Amino acid sequence: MTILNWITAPFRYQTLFLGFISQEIRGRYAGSIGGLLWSVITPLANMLIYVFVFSVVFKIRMKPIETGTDSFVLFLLSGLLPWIAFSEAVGSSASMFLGKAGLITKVAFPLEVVPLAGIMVTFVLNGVGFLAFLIYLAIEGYGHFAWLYLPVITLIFMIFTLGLVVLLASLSVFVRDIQQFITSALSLWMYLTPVLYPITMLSESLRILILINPMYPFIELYHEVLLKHTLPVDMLCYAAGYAIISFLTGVWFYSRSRNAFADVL
Amino acid sequence: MRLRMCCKRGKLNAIEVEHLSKHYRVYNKPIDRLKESILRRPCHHLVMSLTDVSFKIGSGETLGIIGENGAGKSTLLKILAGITQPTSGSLTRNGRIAALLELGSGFNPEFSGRTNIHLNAALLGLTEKEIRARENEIIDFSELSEVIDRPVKTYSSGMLMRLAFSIATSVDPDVLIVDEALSVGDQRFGLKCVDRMMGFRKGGKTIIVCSHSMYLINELCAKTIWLHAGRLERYGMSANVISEYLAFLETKDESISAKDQSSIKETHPEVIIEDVAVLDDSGHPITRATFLQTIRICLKARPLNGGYVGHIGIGIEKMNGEMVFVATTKNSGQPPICFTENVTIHLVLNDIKIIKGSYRIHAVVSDEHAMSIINESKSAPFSVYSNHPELGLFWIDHKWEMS
Repeated sequence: MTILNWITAPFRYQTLFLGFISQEIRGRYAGSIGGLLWSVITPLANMLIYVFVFSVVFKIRMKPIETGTDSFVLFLLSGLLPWIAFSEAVGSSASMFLGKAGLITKVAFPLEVVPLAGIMVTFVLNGVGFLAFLIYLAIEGYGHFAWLYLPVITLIFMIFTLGLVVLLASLSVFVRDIQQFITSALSLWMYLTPVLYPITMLSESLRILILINPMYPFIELYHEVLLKHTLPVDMLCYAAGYAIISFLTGVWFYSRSRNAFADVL
Repeated sequence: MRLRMCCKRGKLNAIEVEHLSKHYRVYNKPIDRLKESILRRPCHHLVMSLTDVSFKIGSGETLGIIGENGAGKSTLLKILAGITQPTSGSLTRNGRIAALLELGSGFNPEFSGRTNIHLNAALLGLTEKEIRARENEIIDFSELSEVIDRPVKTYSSGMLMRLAFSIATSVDPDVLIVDEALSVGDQRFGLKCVDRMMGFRKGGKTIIVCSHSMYLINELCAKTIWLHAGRLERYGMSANVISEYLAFLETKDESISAKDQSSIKETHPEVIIEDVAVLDDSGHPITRATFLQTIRICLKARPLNGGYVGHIGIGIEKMNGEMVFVATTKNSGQPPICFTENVTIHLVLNDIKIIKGSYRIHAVVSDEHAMSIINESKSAPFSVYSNHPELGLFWIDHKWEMS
């Protein structure tokens, strides 16, 4: 029942869902002149840093057999863009319920809508950059029918992210330290995920370690579909498995603790 | 804990509350919460916010909730509104419930008034279609049509309150829960709000109001709950509960000021008033009297040396010391009383016409010219009940004539 709630919430509480989305988008850049432009500039600046360090300073070249391209920039972007969406969503999770304390303690409303809208905003905003990247890839001649898998992969990816975000958002109502924990954990996590480097650069023994990293199959799926135009079914199964585990854990903890939110906040 | 909701209309009770209790776990440090969940050893102390509260509100009834600060009123409202869950006991709610616990929670300052109407109404549970149908009515009622497309951060706080109240009451709930929210905007708009609440009542809606304004509760609510320290102290007709509550408040003020005064007089008067009591017509002590009842004031005095000659005065006063009525033996033409031994004197007051409230008897013994007071004493408070809604000290028979 609770799971069904989560799936139907955006439709049942449509006005609220859309309201929170526009609130989130406008709230993010309220008062700034650049506005939505910053959602492009900030990740762009990050990417330029990585490109400069790895492509210009270290002069890393990709092996087309392994990654489907010899350009480090293309390899980097196809993994980094999804990662940025993920880390933005997770990074904002700690303040997701805490920031709504005034509402939670005063108004009875379907709180599920808040993380759903939060995830939606992050993925839509980052989706714009990703779409631009796809167009660029197509112009460069990388376009392929395998890209049709992308919506499915992204959906599974969003479910995985949602579960984690809901879990962390609920946890931080009780343990405020989660915010600090998330910040350091995310940067560590990124370097443990083959985003900046292909997994082939790792030794065999380290690769096993990477396999238990739940973000690995997602990033790998994007790499493979975008550049090598293949769908590794084993990775898809891994990803779906992690998504289900993450979603169920998040929803379970949320339903267990939801009733106490108004008392603790 | 049981929590049921159903949507049947009709003669069902709007809200049924049985043995409801709410305890908060209070942790001194955040780490204590973690310790408790890991070590399974209690590291908190319990704060009992509500204890064993039971009542029923029929649909279409109006209920007031009164009590001192910290008595649990807000917690009860939050539980009724579904924002927080009771620790134990059961709560049954029927119909759509809208709660106005804090006007304007959920407003986004950056958005225009119009956008906030949509957002806030959606928060309160309206669908987009319903909101669109009511949008104009909300704007009209709030009288903000000129500024409705400006960001609400440019609104004055009165304007915000007006908008919030207009949205909240447009939800058209079956049960409306209001917490101290009626002091909205200027006086004229405040009246509009009260009018709307009255309209709700006429429309057969269930209304639950929590307020410190006894006048409002008395006017708006048929029944009232008095919460005291988390317990249901009284539940009944508003007029009765309110007068008991007011009496309680006055005695409380009295006991505080009495403590201050207790050490003042240490003299040895000629006559000591030993007891002042309020009795009913047949001589039994009472703590409450009803309007038009005949009561007796019984005064017992003891002379210290004997042979003192003086007069006695007995007055009814409010708890703040304001005199309502005073009779003295001298004014009534009685001869002076000779206190040779213990005396007991009764003053019979026929058909008292005092407005409901809390009173006490103030008795004095004076010299034979009624010039200086030898000794004085006050009775325990007693309350007067009355069905008359008028205010003041005395009830006067009256009628209205319109030309």
